[in-house]
Amino acid sequence: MTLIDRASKAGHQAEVYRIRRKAVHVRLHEGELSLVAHRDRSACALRVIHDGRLGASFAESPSQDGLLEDASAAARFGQGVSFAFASALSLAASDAGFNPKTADLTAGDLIDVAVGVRDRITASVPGAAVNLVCEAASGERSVETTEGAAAEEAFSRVTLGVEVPFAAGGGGAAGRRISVGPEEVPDAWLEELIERSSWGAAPSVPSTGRLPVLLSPYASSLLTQTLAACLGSGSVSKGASPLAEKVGQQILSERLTMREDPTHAGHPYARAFDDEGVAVKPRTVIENGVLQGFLTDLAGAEDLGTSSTGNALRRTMFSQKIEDAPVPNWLGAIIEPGEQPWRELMAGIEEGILVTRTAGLHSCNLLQGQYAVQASGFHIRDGQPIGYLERVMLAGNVFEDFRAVRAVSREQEVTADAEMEVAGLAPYILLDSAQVTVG
Amino acid sequence: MRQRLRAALEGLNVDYADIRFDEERKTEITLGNGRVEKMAVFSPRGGHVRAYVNGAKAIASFSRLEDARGAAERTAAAARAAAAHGNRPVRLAEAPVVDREFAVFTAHDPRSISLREKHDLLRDYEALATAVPDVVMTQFMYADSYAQRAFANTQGTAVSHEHLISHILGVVVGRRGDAVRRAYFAVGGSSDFGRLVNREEMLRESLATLDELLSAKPAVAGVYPVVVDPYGAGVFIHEAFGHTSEADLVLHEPVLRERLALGAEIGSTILNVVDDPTLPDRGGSYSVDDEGVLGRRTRLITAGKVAGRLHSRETAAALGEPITGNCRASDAGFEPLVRMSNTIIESGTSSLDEMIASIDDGYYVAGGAGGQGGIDFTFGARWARRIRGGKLGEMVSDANLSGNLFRTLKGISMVGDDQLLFEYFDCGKGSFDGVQMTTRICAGAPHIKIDNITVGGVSE
Repeated sequence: MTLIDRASKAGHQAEVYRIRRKAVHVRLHEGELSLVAHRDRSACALRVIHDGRLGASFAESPSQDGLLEDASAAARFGQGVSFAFASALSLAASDAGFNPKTADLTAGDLIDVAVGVRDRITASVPGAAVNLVCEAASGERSVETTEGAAAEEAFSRVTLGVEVPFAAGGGGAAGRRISVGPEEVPDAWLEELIERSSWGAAPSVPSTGRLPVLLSPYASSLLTQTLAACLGSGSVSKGASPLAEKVGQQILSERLTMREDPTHAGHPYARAFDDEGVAVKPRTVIENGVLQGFLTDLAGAEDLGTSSTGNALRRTMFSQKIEDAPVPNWLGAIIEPGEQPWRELMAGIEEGILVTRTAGLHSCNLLQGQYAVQASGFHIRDGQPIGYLERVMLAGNVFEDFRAVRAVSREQEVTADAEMEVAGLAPYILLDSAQVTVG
Repeated sequence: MRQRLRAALEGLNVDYADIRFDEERKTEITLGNGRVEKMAVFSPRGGHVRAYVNGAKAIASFSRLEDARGAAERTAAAARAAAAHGNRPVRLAEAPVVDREFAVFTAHDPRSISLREKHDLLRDYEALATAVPDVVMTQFMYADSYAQRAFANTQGTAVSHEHLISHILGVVVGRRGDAVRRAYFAVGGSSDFGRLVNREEMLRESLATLDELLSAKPAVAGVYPVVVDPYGAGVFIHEAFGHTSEADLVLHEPVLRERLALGAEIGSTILNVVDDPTLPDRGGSYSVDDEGVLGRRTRLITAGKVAGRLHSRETAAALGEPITGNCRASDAGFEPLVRMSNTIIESGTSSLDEMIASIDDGYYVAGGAGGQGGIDFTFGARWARRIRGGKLGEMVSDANLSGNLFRTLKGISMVGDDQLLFEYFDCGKGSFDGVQMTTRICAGAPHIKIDNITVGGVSE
């Protein structure tokens, strides 16, 4: 008898979430092979509703002893809910995020890729101590409920991360590619990485004060993570979000339009259903800076008196285990592109900074929109990078600084968050100014 | 279980291999805005293998104990294959063979407390918070975990060890107009359930701070002298120096290898820092690490000079330094990494009043709201007060601090005669299969004064 059948027989509504992840990973440190790793893990999370109360349990497999009994015991004191688990999906599960070739990749294949990339870089930068990781991951994810939902989809990802050290030390130019299946690494991508490593010939100290800030696609997490905190139904329904009453109002620059679309075929982390088995669907969340709606899961939708938008994710910034309860998040945040090439945006900066990475956002008051992060990247003067940033802190308020956006680039890049297992697309964003403080 | 693991390694054609398996039992309860948001009982388990052949290393994780032998064989084969690729040789430092069990003993075992009692304790704390005007969101979490861990290697070590920990973490969000601020309440971090009860006074203090914080303006950005309270200083030493004491980071960063050589002058002469997993029943306390090496106290900074660093057997061999027993994984599904245990700044001689009186224009920053380490580090304060003319002034919000490790440690000009350790602390560190979050870690410090540090905030 399956776990769902046993739960049903016990008079429970039940939801079984299962995931299996397999991966092979190779790492080159300073140009030399340093690690070969394999992973084969499975996990099963059970939620039951009994007499209107919710309980949960977790184990490695649905056959592990005590899984149903633990969830039943928890439900005796659990959350009072009136929502039902997902019913049969209106959208068939797809394999949009899966390429079978990825599952066939071996450690030997990945070593060949890694060594090939290293050799192409050192052909241009002789002696460069390149750090590199290459990983092929694949698996299956499923949600089954007593209400009739039964969806399963496969996923796969090939990730290549490369760091080319700056000549002056103090870090390096880092790039990451992520795709559903194996792909050639384009010359242009490697050439840009090598060019950026040459910008790090020396550190350069910008002025302290409000400066123009060009955020690279990965640094746009300042915006997406803040919005995830403020648009999630948990903070909205409790009135803690400053955006709770601002649907239909201008909250960001009119140059910013953000869509939620986890369905992109061939896109890493593409999916047909969220972690509660609710079908995901593309929609616009912010249109020309005007807020259109929130991100909800089943419980949050119940609180707001709406239906789930299919944004439940069993991962948070602080925990990447599926044993955590689903919470609303972006599953495929897409920031729409603009008109100009990003290099033109940089060329128009008299003095400012190009931010490629930030650190410390998790310790900021995201609900307030407040951020104070350490910025990595490059100091720009007269439109040119003149050195890498050291001891630079970037601070301000998202809802003020992203109101004054000078331009958005026409290029978009994939912004995958491997910990959260979500991906999106983002352009370069040029803020009119933000507070830059040099220590 | 350790004998079963030992058997899984028999006959492998490798230079060295080890294997771990964890079985854990966790209870988590979350209350939010007066109702139960989570009531869950978890039973995660999993294992991990490492194999070394001619200096090549392979690792693998697996889910079921019955898969241990297969995982060991596949990992050994992967290491042999990797050895053919001309890799960077990996060696392991010698470590004594340990063959024993380590049990946990506690006066108030959280496993003996019913779900109902745990729920009611949490409910009573939350009720104090929800009764406060302007509080719009509360989230109070109770968690306990009992883990049985086993380890064996091909050199004869076979250990099993138990871990038991419980804590309560409360987050209270207040909103006054457009101002949204948070207060925190964290107790426990040990095997003793008794540390979780009768802590109302601590929560009331935190709620009073929230009330003041809701009317506070953000900090003004700049470079200032600051006095950091023991919790903030604990986060500071964890983020700013602790992570750079983890030898795997030193090994991979040429600048750190050079500047953190043993004996190098890194801080002011009044600065003394230790890492000590042998402290009784603290968050970062343990008997044996995940390489079967016994935990021990390690001096990291003595009178401002680098006195030691934290090691795995790999990093100790690579740097030619003694093993310290600091190689740990958040659970058996992960590769063990070099991790801190209880990392502490030792007390000095200055009083808090002397520190504040020494500052003409600066900040008093309090509480640790997390951070990120490295040569350049950042950490957030829960709240701060402006210091003007040697006196504490108005409260300010959103004071995040950032600095350069070497400048900042040398800028510590006063160390307080007090000391506090966090009860609850967590930390994430990246590994190939994701960030490993752990709550089995702790930090502590006295008040300290830093002469110049960057405060991220708004422009004046």
